[in-house]
Amino acid sequence: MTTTPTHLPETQAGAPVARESNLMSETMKQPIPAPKFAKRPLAAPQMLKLRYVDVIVIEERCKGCSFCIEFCPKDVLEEDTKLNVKGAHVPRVKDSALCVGCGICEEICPDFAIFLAEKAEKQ
Amino acid sequence: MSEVQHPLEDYTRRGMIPHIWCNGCGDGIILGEFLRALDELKYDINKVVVVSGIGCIGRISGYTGTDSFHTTHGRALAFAVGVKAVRPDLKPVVISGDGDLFAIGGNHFIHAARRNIDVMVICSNNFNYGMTGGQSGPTTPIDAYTTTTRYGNIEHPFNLAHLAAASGAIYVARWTAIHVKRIRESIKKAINKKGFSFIEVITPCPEEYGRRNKIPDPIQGMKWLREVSVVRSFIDPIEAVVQPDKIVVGEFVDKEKTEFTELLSASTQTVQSKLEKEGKLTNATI
Amino acid sequence: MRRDVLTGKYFALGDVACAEGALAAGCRFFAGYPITPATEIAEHMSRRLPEVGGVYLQMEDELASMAAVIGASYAGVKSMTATSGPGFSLMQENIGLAAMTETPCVVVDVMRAGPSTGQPTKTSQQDVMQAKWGSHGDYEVIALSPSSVQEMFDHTIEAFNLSEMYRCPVFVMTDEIVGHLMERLAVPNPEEIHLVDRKRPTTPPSKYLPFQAGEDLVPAMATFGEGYRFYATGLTHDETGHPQTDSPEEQAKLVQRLCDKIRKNTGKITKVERVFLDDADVCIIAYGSVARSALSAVVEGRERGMKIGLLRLITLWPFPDEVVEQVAAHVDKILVPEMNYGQLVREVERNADRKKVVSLPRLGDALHTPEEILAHALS
Repeated sequence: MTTTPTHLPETQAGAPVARESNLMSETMKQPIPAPKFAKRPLAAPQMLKLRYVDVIVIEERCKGCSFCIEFCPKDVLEEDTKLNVKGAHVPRVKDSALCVGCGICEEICPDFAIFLAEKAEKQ
Repeated sequence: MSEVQHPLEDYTRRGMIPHIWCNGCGDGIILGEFLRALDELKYDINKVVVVSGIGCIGRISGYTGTDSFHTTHGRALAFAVGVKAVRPDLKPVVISGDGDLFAIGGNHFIHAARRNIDVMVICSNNFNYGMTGGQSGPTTPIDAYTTTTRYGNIEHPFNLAHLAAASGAIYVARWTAIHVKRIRESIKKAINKKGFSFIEVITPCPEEYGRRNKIPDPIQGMKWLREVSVVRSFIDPIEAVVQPDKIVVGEFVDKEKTEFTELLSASTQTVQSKLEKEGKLTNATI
Repeated sequence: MRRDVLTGKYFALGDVACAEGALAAGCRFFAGYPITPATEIAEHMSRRLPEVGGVYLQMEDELASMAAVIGASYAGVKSMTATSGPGFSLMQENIGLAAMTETPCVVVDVMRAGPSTGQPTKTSQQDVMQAKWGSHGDYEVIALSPSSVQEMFDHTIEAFNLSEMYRCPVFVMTDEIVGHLMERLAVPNPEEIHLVDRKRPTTPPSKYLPFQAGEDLVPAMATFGEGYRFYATGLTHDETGHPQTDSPEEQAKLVQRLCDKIRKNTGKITKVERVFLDDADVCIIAYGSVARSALSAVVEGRERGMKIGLLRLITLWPFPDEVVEQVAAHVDKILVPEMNYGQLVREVERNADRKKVVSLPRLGDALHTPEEILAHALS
């Protein structure tokens, strides 16, 4: 039986166990659990009304990044065939009936080139 | 078509849009969300002072229709501290980049956070120094390629949310350029908090960082952010990692703490009432 | 009685007199960092500013101090900082920003032996060239040189007035001797102190151009939070404040105006003191505490019948070229004693026949003695 130095914890069987740092190594190995008591998440669904809007493009500002086309949840937009003054394919509306006015295109555009405007009269 | 103007047009500085940022850069999204947040809150635009440093995002102070100042590299926070200390009625908003705030400006950041001065900081983190051509910075991931790390970056990057929380910020959040609505909500929350708040927005940099690290296309950059980001609000900021394969976003700190100008005015009040009570003009000897 | 102008007679420290002068001038913001021998200014301001409703901020370093001073000035408050050589070097970057954005502010440099950390507790005049050329690029500043505790008070007020009038950083270049000297100080009544405030815009916000200047080349300065929503940048800009990073004409126009607003007003800005110069053959040009020894030397010399006079420089920058040129034309010899290895003597040489000019440098904490100055004046 080896003598156990007093500063090391002992296992049930009496042999010393080297102390491991349990600060980061363990937690980093495991998947991060979702916290149980998280506060109400940001942008919790405000009731997005179905808005009757026109999609308006300021063509000369568009750089052709296609964010609006790519991230529209309703696939309303597509690339126009013609080029604008910057040499970019601006977006155009494929089917306006699909648009729910969520505003993602307006918000995700980095160039202030596309926005929604309330329609004059409801459909 | 041109009678209807962009809803944020009045919040921008006349004649300055279109801006200089590249195709696919997230800085334009940050600008839009910031102005949108001000609009939704109907915030008194005359009380906002936008202070920026040097870098691509540093140009933002020229695009916002507010009192703006474009300082020297890294000194935006020190300038904002000076503004707030003498004018507690104003709200300085520092919008700057990862290098400007945390490399050259690192010292000013931790001290402003420590003081809990009522300034909101928005950091556009694109993992490199974009304006000067794509050099490495304090947030460049390990092994990433930049013009000054041609063999792969060998330095560990900062975890900015952890740094801000450890320095004493009372509101810390991290989002990416794809989380448009959440950036706006965070800004709305933070601008109304009295104290030091920090919002990190990770953005793609297609022309510099992206081009050298396999995400050269704007859409690729955004899709990458959408793919690797995971929302884990209110976990310990030290665990909110930023890696090429996992970016933990969310709000991490949301607390209250006595703010610097409150303490300052309380202290000044005490000094002055004591003088009046004792009928003296000054406590100092000349 | 007012708390900011403590009218009366005192036996005060130079640094303290400087701080009191700032308060009397209306300074309500100080951001600084402790550094020998200017720490007393910071300490005194930290005690006094809350008493007068101002703000004292101890920043994390001198770069932050200067940036905070610019911020507070743009927020509408008269601001200052105080430092010595090493801190002065750190501040240069933002001194350039202050010059470019035409920020009124005062920087006090209580000079000590350098370069680098040097001898922190020993005097010198080694930063005088740095005051003019410290930051990169072409710009003009104003620098004053007090020689006594009373002048520390008076010149600090003058510095604030000049900075508000010309919208540029103004330096009070003193040395450790004057900074740590205790002498009589007389603080006048508030009515006797003449103060200048910055020019405010007369146009409404929609028509205001932040960097448009009239005949005097100084634009009106708006303040944050009043609805002007203007933009100021360290980049080359036009009158609207917007960056003009491509145009050579805008660069020339801006840099010339920034410099000309001081250069064209040199006659109004510069101050000198002439002692016994009318019939002098030998002239001593001195500033700061050296001028005190020089004055003694001149008085002694005159008693001995020598035709010796003193030109004391009160304004170091812009250098009083015309005055020096005019004096130099009438004398046979110019002696320039300085507590450095020959700095302002170069400016004198520029304006006089070099053969007439003799530099008398002194390094190491040693003020020139009057005997030494007189001996060199005679030889």
